[in-house]
Amino acid sequence: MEQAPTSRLPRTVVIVPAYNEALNIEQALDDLRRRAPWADVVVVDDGSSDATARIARAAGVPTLSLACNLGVGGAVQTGYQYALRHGYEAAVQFDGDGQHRASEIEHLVSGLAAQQADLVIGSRLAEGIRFRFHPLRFIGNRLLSALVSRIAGRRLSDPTSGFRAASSRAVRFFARYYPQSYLGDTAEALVWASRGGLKIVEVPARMRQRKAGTSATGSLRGFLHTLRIVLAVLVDCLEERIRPEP
Amino acid sequence: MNEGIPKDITLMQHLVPLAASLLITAVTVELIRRRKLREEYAMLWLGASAVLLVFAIFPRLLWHLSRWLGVYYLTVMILLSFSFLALLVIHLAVVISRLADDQRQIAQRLALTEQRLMELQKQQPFAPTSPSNS
Repeated sequence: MEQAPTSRLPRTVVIVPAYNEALNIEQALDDLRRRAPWADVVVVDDGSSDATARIARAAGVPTLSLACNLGVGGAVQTGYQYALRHGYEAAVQFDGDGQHRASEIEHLVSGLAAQQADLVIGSRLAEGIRFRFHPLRFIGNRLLSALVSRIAGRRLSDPTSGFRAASSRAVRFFARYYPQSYLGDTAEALVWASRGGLKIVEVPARMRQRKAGTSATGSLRGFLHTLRIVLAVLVDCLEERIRPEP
Repeated sequence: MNEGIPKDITLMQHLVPLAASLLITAVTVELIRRRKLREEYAMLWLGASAVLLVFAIFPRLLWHLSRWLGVYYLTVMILLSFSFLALLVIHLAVVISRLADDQRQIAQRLALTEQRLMELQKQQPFAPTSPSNS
């Protein structure tokens, strides 16, 4: 393996949540091995009924196999707990379905130190990135973005992006507190984090378009789903603030 | 105001709470016998059937209550049972949320521990593969 070109990068683990991704996981892990060889990887198998965990283990990747399906939130949180136990300085959330590009990870992680942030989001909607959303989804996203940006006190154009890097402080926070609602790993986690005093920034990130039909966020369903997240975010604002240890 | 309510208690007003009370008691006892109901819920339902029994024995109690509240006899019955059931359902929802939370934490710890075990086994390849077998 080539020496990491960037020794200034923190010791990083890439968390790959996967639910029935037997067809895609090998490719995602291959992408990580080739384009982010400096980072460790952990797969979180969210109670898959297919061979996801076996394939990941066969590829030599540490795999946390959940006994039952917890949803993305529970799976991602398990990854953060792994990162905390193993003392990683940074963690990256990276979907096992091939939407995220391993080549962008370095960009995200280096943003942590460069911008002194606790959380760096890879945004599909930041300047210079052309990512096609369905129009309805786009409107929903605008609404959510405005809301989350207001809470975070900083413009966050793509709050539902699941591609993000976390500092050790954010790792500690998420290992303990992580929203568990359906697909709550995205916007709600940002609200919890910013209310907990973590600094969130975003960087542009290119992503692959998903093949049609497979995503949980289609057109109208995607819009309704986004509205649901908006409601969940509003409820979050009613909750008690989580104050993590500094 | 409740002139419409007769002073005599009909046979039905005796029998309905009595039947309901006996039914709940029977079901609860049977569930306890089969160890399918935890004691705290058994107590709850036995308590509920006891309350019903009181109303079955003293039907005028409900009638007085309805007069005092200024609503009809049937309305009081529905109001009481609905409030009871609503509170119960909310309580159960809270219990389920807590159980789901516990279950999540157990699943997470199990996954982390299993992976740790595999790491340790790799370091000690001659260790028995299934330490739980004794």
